[in-house]
Amino acid sequence: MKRFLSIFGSTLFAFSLLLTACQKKKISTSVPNDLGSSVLRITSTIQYPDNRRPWLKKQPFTRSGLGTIIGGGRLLVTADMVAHACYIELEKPEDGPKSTAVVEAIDEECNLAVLKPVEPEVLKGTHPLPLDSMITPGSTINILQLEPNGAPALSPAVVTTVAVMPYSSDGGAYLLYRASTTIPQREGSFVIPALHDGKLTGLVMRYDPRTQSAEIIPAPLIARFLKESGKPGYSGLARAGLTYGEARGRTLRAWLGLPKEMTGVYITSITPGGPAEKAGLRKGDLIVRAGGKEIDGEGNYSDPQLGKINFSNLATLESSVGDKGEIVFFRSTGEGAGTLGTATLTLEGRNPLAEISPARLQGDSVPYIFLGGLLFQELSRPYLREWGGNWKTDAPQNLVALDTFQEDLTKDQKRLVIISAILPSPQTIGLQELAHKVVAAINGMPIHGLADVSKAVKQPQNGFQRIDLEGSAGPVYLDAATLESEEARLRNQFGIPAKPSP
Amino acid sequence: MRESAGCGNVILEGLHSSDTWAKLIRPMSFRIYLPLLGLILATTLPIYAKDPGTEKHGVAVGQNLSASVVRIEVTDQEADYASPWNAGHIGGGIGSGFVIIAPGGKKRILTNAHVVSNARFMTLTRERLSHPYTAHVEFIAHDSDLALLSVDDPAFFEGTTPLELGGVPLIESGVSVYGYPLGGERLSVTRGVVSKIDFDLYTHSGVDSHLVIQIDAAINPGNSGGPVLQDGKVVGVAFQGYSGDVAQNVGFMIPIPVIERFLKDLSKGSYTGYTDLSITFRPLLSVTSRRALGLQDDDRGILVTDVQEKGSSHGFLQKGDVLLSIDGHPIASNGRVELDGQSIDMTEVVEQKFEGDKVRFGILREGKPLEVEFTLQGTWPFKMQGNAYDEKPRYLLHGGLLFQPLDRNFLNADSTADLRIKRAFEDFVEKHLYLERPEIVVLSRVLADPVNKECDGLRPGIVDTINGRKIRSLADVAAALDQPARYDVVILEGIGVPIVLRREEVMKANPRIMQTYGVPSPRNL
Repeated sequence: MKRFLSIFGSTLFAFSLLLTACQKKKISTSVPNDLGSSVLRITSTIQYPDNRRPWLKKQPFTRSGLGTIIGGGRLLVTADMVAHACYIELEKPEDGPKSTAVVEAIDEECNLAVLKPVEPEVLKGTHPLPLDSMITPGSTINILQLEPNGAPALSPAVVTTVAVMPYSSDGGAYLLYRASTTIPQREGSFVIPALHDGKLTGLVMRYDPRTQSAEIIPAPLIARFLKESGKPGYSGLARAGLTYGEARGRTLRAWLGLPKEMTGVYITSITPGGPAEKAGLRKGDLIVRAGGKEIDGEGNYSDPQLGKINFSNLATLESSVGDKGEIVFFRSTGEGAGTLGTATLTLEGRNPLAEISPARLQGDSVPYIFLGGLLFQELSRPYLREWGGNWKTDAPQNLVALDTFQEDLTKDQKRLVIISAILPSPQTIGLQELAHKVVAAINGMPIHGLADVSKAVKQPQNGFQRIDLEGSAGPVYLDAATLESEEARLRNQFGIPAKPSP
Repeated sequence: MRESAGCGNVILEGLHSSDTWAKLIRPMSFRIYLPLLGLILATTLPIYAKDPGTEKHGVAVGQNLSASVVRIEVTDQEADYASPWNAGHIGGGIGSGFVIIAPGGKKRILTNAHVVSNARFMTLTRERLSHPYTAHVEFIAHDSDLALLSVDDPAFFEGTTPLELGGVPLIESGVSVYGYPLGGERLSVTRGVVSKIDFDLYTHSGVDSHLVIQIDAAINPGNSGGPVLQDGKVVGVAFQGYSGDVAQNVGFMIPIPVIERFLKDLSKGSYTGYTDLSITFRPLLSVTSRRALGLQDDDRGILVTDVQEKGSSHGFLQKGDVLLSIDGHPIASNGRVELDGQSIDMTEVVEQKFEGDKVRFGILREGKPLEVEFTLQGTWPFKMQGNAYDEKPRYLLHGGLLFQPLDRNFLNADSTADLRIKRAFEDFVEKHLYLERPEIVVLSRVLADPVNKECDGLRPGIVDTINGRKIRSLADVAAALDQPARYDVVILEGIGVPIVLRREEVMKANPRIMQTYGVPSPRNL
């Protein structure tokens, strides 16, 4: 989908909620006592994998927030709350039985997760909240927190904006409510619900006390997530597999031959093997209508309730994976002329195989292969993020470029295997500068993923494992016969646990 | 005014001096400096060796350096690659130089290239001279930071004593540095010992590495170009130092082998420059690698990992070759060669050669021994990656769109350059991009005007095509835009919308843009 540029800059990403202690505000609305019966306190113990020492996990830490009880004995939280959690504990607000919980569904792209309590007694006496329908800017809502003694506390908020916005810096833009509010600092508020007319109208995923602005995942998106994630093989909300750029300039439109009264967006790339490609759309086509709605030069359609909304919403919020959508497109034939066409798109979820350097890794462990002192891993964004907040300048620049410009890489490239570390040993003397280089082939076999590495090392040539790197780095040779004993020695020396072979 | 001494980082790696170091070479305003001078002058009065038996340090007994070392004052103009149509910032600097007998027998002044680069006017003074004399650059070597000046009025040389060139001093032997650091009108001298002799980066070009001698005598701004003496003879030209924040008592000088090569090269009437093997190679320190390549247990050989198609070695050396000897001298597995009782880098053997000279390698190719011999030539395409001087920036302005060739000067001026542009700069050599195009052209800026104000897709980027024509050089841009067309369509590399302008509107807009932004000429190709 559309890549948002710097207009949605870094000010959005204030991840810590409630940094400053504010005075306790006198809340004018009376607080119904039973609000506390619709939430449970959640404490999750999280351990992120260590992408640079993939046999390790990082320091565990805890996050506490509120899980909203929704129908079916389930709890709704943000994905941030429980991603990579090794232990999740639920507790009633005013003491009482505790329970552990498991994650039933999670989507880090739209930042939502569903939990199921292991001991159902923790839900005794609770009341699930129904989901609200769409609300519009100007609506007043309430943000719920709990006092330490379990009493509910509300902070009023006014919705200022309803628009499609990036949910994280790794892509994925969805409908979002922005609300102006002052949320006092209270413990256990990593995620808190927003209420409206006694219903759940959203989950507060971020609050910036400097701008006094909360970012809330809207109930209609939550409803879509609940519906989609319940289906087998869920891998994300519906998408069309294309990126586009604005086409507002009159000279561009005249050159393309777009009729004066027609507006649309310019397709700048097509995901290989994705819905747009399968439907016959091409780079350079202009999307004029999608799902029956006219698209303007900025990529918006007109929603009767919300006004101008980015058209990706038609897929992510309003459609299911598998739904068909009709796209009317304009294809320029050059010389200021072109033709209109229709394509039928079948929306799909996320295809992790299409990502050469994935934004997120599946599961809790980071795949790696350790071979005689060389550590092989697949390039991913989480790996680069290990270089910290400034990873874009601090991480190896050849890898940052490969991650940033992965659309430039050929269709055949599945994943990039890199030598992520070289442990010093007699066989690897003088090779230190080869860390972070991309592996092109092993023993003559081209490498497009870690699975290829496993296969290739089974066929050493003349008693050597020959590893060819991309660029001008030259080959690396390892002695096949002593590989296992070398490995055992290095594992022992550096404390790397043995792994069952893949 | 800038005191030139090229404070810079001297690092061992290949092509890049880090950007943060470049900031240390900031022009220091002479006016700000002035109040400090009074203090400094008081403590650095010129010291002439008077005592007999002032043995091995600087001068011979009775030698008067003020007759040999000159003070060079330069007014220069540094081009602005961010606004390439501008003539550039006028500044200046002070450096040192000394009198030598150049090839051909004439008296000339030897100094650093960085003292006189981009010079518009220069004068020389020395003690006991009543007035400054104008001079100009006769030969300049940006690849080894040396320059030879001639003085317009030969009367300048009356009463001067040319300095003799010596040899390579021993480690820990004493040397003296003469020059005009920190401004001042009197010759100053500092003393130290030779700390280290090694191959290192010359920050003037930023891509060339040659022999460098490190000494612990103080080398300060203004010392650049001045002689370093031992036993009355020149053993080096002071040229680089470290800022006191990073390292102390670390100064660098250009040694005699580099100076002699410079003089020999220019003796034919023009300076050609260094040659290059244009290969990438790697030491073979691991026993396993050596066995895999079929090498004997004799600790010899380095591995060729890349050969540049437009370089000297193409057609003679191949990726995978093991270099065992150069001109008959064995190459050790760490790349060193024993020459005249000294252990030097293999590349230093090539350093001494000139364009057209031959080099002979004993190699192992796929396990079989071979001898190859070939002629050496210059260092394109690395030139694009080095700092360039004494040239006007090339550019083309069309409808407010500014096109420039990608080179180091451009990147130095644009610190926020796009990642794609920065990668292309590295990949030009690393991934042999120069084969498909001699120049990478960048759309660097847009001068806002009604003709381009509502253009979609405007962003800095690498130009792929213009009006359907593949762009391989700035000349291609001119060729494409000089053809008649209704629309000008610029497609940049990467994901984006085509940039489209109407030619008729551009033609009207160009003079308007030039007037608004003060651009004297729409192009310099």
